[in-house]
Amino acid sequence: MTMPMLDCEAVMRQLWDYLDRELTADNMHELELHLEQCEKCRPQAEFRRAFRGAVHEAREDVGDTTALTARIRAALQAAVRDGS
Amino acid sequence: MPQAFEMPEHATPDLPSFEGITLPLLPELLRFARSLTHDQSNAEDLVQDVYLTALRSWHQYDPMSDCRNWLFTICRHRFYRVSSRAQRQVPVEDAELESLTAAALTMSSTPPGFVAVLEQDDMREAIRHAMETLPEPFRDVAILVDWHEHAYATAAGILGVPIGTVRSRLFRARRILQQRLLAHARDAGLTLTPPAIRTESAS
Repeated sequence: MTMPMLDCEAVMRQLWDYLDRELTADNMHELELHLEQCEKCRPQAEFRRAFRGAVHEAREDVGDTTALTARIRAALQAAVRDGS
Repeated sequence: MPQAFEMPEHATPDLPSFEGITLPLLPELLRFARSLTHDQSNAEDLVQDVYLTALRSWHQYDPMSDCRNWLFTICRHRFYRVSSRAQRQVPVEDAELESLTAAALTMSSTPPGFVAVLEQDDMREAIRHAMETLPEPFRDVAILVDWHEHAYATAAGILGVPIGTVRSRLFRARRILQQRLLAHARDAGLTLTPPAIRTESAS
């Protein structure tokens, strides 16, 4: 049995959910099929995917956390010691 | 500075166990704290405060649950409590979700070349700045989902809001980011052809 094709409005409504993988497997598949075939929706999906990736890549590298880890370990040990 | 710590009498935390579970999450927690405080030193103080709070509450932690989510929840709670920053009401909540999703149907175009601009190395700082200066409710959701890859349900749990609110705030956050980054790219003289993201009415 073939699934009915989603229309463009339904795809746009669910596009972020699709890109964030928040849909069910069936819904994901439905959108994939639509995007493969629809020249109107595909550029928007490609843009949003690229935008999402660029935002994710821009997150900051926290660097070396060795010193902070040592500081927190000392604070935890002091808390346990002082609280016992 | 982290607040004074008092261990509850009933709690006898197993420190090695606590550290073994929680300390591997420190880098991610620090990144989250940094995005909340915008300051490395304050972020480190906040993270220390989170660990002390978590230790004190360790007896309440469900070992079957995701410790990462638990620590993120504490972190956000401590940040807003310690900094006495009341969470502002925002104009976008569940009731507006329908109109926002309707706005998405306009299939707005994006300028040719915008994707290539976004992927340039020198846009990273602009993206980071745009993210960190989003209005707080939008920023918190975007950081949890776009930077920390939390599922909507997890973000909803950390923020204490319904999933629909996460969805609508995320929608709005991404639109604001797109508009700001487009403006930044134009101001910076980066090549973009014709004006672009069409104004989308939420009516």
